[in-house]
Amino acid sequence: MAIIELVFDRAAVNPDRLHEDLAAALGAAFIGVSAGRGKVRVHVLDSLPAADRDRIGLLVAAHDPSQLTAAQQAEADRAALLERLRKPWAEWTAKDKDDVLRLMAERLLDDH
Amino acid sequence: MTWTTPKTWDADELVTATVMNTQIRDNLNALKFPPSAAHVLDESSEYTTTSTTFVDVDSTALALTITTHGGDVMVQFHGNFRNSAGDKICLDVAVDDVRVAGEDGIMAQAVGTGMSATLTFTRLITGLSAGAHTFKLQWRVVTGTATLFAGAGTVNNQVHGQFWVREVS
Repeated sequence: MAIIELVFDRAAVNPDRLHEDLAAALGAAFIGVSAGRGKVRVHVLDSLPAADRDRIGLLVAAHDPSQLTAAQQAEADRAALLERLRKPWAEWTAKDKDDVLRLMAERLLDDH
Repeated sequence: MTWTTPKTWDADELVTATVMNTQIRDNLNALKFPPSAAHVLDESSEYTTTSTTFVDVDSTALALTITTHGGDVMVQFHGNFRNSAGDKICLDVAVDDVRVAGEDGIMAQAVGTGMSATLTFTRLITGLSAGAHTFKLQWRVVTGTATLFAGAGTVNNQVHGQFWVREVS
């Protein structure tokens, strides 16, 4: 099966989120999405039905780049937490200590 | 610049201006100014892809066409990349829409999430016929979203990579 690309004019994109939304809508026929120079290119198998191709345009038009994926939100939350913990030890609360232990445990589990 | 196969001179052969201009002037100009094309990245937005199949990075700006004399062509690229999943980014060049390296491309390199890394390659492409050929930079990811920084204003990644091709023989 050949891969085709549908091209749309679109400047601002959150590629991770747009990829997730298109993958959920199109399934296995969706290969990926590329962006640059004011264009969004959606790569799909040529077997994708015409009705689904029309949906792609609507999804791209409705895309809100400020909406984050779960992974992006988790990373933003982690960065905010680390920023909040940049203070003298004497000012740390019990919740602060629990939070840093949780972060360290998550990192250990990720690495193994 | 027109290239003419150098002639074999005969003893007492008359050297005319026409022959000298063809054999010496034109051929030296052809060597001095070989078929060549280049693009420096300086765009309004960075390039991204989530495609797990090779696709053009930019089928206009990073598609270079030269008309060769049938010689070998050198292709070079360097740019700064990031991958949101810390996984591999694969690069290749398609000549007239056929990838030169096949499989996973010319190179496959994991690039971290919180950093950027320079990926670069030089490739000598042989066996091309004389005539016009189009060279396109292509990429894919194993997982994640790849970003190619193109001078679009990302803090500390306001860099300008380059893609160029030149006939070298």
